[in-house]
Amino acid sequence: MNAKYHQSIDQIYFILTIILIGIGFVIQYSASSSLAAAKFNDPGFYMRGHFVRIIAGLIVGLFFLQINYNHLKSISFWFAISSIILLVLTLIYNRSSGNTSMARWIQFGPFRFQPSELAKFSVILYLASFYDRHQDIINDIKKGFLPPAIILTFIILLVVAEPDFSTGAVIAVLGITIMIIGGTKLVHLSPFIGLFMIFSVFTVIRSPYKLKRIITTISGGNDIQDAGYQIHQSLITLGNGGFWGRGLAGSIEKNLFLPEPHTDFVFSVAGEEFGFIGATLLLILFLLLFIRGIQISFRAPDIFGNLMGIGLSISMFSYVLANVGVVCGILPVTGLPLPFLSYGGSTMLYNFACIGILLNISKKMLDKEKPLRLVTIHD
Amino acid sequence: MTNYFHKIRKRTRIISLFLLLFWGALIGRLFTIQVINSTGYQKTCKNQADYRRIINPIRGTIYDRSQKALTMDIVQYNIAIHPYLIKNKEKIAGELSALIKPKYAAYLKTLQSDRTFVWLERDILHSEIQPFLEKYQYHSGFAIEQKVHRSYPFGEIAGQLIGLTDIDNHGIVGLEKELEPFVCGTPGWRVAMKDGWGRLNNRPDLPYKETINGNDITLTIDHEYQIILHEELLNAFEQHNADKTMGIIINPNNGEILAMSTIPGFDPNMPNNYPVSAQINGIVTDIFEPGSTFKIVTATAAFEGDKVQPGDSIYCEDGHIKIGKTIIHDHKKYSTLSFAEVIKKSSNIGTIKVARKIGKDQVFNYARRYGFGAKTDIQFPGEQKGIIHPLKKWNDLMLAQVAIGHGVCCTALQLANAYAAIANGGYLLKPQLVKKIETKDGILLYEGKPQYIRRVASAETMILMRDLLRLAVKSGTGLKADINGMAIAGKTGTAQKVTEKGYSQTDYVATFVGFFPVNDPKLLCVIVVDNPKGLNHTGGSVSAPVVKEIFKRIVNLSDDLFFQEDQLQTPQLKLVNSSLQHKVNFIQTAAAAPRESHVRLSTYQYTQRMPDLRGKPLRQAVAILQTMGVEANIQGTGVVTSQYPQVNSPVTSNTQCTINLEPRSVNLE
Repeated sequence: MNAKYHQSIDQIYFILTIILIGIGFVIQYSASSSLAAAKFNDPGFYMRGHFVRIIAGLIVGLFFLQINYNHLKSISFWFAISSIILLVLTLIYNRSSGNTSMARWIQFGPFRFQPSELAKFSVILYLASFYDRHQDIINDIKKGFLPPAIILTFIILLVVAEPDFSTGAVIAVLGITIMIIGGTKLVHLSPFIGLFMIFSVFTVIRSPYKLKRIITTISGGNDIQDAGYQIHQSLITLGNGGFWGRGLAGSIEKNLFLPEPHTDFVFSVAGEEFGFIGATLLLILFLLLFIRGIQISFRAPDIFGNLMGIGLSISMFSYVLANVGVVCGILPVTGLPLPFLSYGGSTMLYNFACIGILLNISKKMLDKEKPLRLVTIHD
Repeated sequence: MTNYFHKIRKRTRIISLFLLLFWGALIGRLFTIQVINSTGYQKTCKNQADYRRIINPIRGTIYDRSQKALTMDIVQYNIAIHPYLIKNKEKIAGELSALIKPKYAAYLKTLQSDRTFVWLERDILHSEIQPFLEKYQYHSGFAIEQKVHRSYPFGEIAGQLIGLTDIDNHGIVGLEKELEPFVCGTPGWRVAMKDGWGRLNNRPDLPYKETINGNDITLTIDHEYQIILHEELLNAFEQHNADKTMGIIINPNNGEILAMSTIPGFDPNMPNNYPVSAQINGIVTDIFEPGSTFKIVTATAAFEGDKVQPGDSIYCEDGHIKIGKTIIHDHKKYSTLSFAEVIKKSSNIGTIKVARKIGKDQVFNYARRYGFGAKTDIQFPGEQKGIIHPLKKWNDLMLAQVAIGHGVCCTALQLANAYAAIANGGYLLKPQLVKKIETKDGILLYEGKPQYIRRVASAETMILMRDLLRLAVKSGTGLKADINGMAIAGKTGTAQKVTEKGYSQTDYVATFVGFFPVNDPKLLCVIVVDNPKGLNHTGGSVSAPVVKEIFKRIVNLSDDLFFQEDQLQTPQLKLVNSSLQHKVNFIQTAAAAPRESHVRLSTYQYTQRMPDLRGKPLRQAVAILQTMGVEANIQGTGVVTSQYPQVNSPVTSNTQCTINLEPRSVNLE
């Protein structure tokens, strides 16, 4: 039976990943150099940080590549519980230290870590393992719907309480998407979705700056204060690139005009330096990564691998769409990073974990999409 | 079980489709931003990132005919800082006090200011800022502004002629206005890249445009003559308590204007201290009735038409003539005079009778031929063409009035130009004010050449006219302009001013036009005194002495003017204005020297010339000046860096020498 497994990792997926990491490294250096020079008098500051994060990500990725991913299935529930505990700890840690405004991080010695990234990861793992283990009782509202719904709600509420509304929204959308894919009855799910929507509207109205950002987006970024300023500069940056771009390191806007050129708006710099052509190629690479990820997942030998692969692929791709959507001014400013390009440790580790798991799945994937017979045998 | 896999795939495909649609929308959105609307965004980016620094040109210098600069351009710099962009404030304050001025504490205080924009230093000279510029020109947080400021070293002298510039350094009055396109230059610029914090980054690949400095102008004006004219007009202005005095000196042979001035004067360095009316160069803009000076028109017409000879007797009606209902008087009762005497004694009635004889057509014709009633096209703004009524409006009274210079108006320039035609043998020339225009690199753009407008009358007639005018000075109304030994010719004019009630009985315009030497005129001078008060109001008694004084002083200056006289006479001391004691001494010394029959002026005028004082210490420079009898005007301490008058310029008795001193040697360029 083992002979029918691939045994080696999927080369297409691996190559796509390497290309994206390479591009990300170059663009990160170009985009961050001016800011780093201005802030730290050292143009390579962020570039070196990014490199360190890639190395750390590789270690995490290799770890997830080497383990038997079925082990994840058994620990996923405890994984979810521990991320809930971490979120609570973050809240307590930040509230006690008087830092109430942006309490998203928790300090581990020299490292700062964003538990919401871990929560996102654990939600996907937990839901995948839940539907793998309870395939037969999905339609049962008490046993098949409520447990994942409750855990999901709990995590979302904790993330929003941080407050990190955008990540909360992303986790909600991801969780619900996996629940839909996992086969939850839409009749059960729709009131749940409704509740989330009401909750979202309530949260947005309560906080004026979120409302303002949304209004800015809808009104087309005419307001050039605050969030509107960021979008305005981002559009100028993209537009300045034109069709062919200004060439590598040719960005003008990265010279402190564009806010956050190394994190949230790194795609703008890519668009300015490589033009519409370059930006489209980059988006095509991400699309290919997504499609290949889905293909790998479809050929996974079990439901857990299947759902986990789909969930992780969708999560990475939705980050791409959300980030570029913000940069293009069709989504409100959220602060979601672009995988492999944006500067940031937690997101880098998360993305490498996703890649590692998907490559792990690809090692065991079937030659063709013929899961029916095999799964029967397997069971 | 298989169903479950199917279900997962089906739902995944549906959700992926949504994601794909959104992905497509992003591509479309990017296309809109980066391709369709790209130009607009690129422009916005340029606007916020490009910083275009304008580099102002330096205006062309205006020189007199001997290359003495009548204007100066002072380049000054202002330094501003954005204190929040400057780190290491103590260190930078220390360097600034070493580079600019030793003001460590003041600089440090400014640098530590919490304002976003502060002026650090204003009006720093080019030489002072140079070391700073080299080091800090593109340092973040510094902004340097260059200003070019026009200055006029001679103040009121030729003030109206040169004019002035406005605060943006554009000419608005006088020659500065007229020659603006030549002297203004073209501003250049340099693009520097600005970043989001407003810091400038100068890169060699960014575009720039060279500044083109203005062109240098050389005028026909002789600065020495200009000073003489100015001083003498000022004397006359004060002596006669006049409303205004105007004067012009031209070279009748080529139409070059050597000096022109109007009193009350005006200092273009301080325009606000003077009424706007003082900015006007009255020589070209003020029209007045020329009075008897206009009699040349009748005389020329008479000689050209061969109607009258100088010896012809004319009965002058014993002092008054009735034309229609108007009675015209002579200033003295004359019975019978020859025509030469009519001109010499300036008889109105005699002239009117001659004018009647030759007819109004010819009088009108010659007035126009002399250029009256038409612009001379001098290179100066605001020229007036004067008034001559059309011929069809002329009646007997008008003819009589025009013959004696009433009922017509002209400018002093037109008068000078008309007399120049007599002096040069009949050619009406276009007045020249600009000798040449050169770029700063010495490329000649324009060169003034004598321009001939028309021949007014035959050379024979003009020789006759010159003799008549010589007679008028030698023994007629212009006697007070005569200098022994110098054949000055000229004509007086006294016109009643026109008021609302007709001709005034108290206000006059006293005019004298003189030129010399009569046989080969080199200089021609018109003096107009507007409304002299006091006993004397005639051109002969008010304006003629001014012309005499001017000619005398010019002759004393100059080496190349011969003076010829019918017979040589010894210069007499009584001619010398005794108020100027130094000059008397010079002339006394000179008079004792042996002379020959034709005397070059240099032999009887002891000419001192300015030594080179530059580089000498103060004490030495003052000692040199004292031995020359020149008063020193000391500005500054240390070593002499510049002097005025310049090296080798002639020293007259009342010359003051201004010396500027600097504590250390500086690069003057």
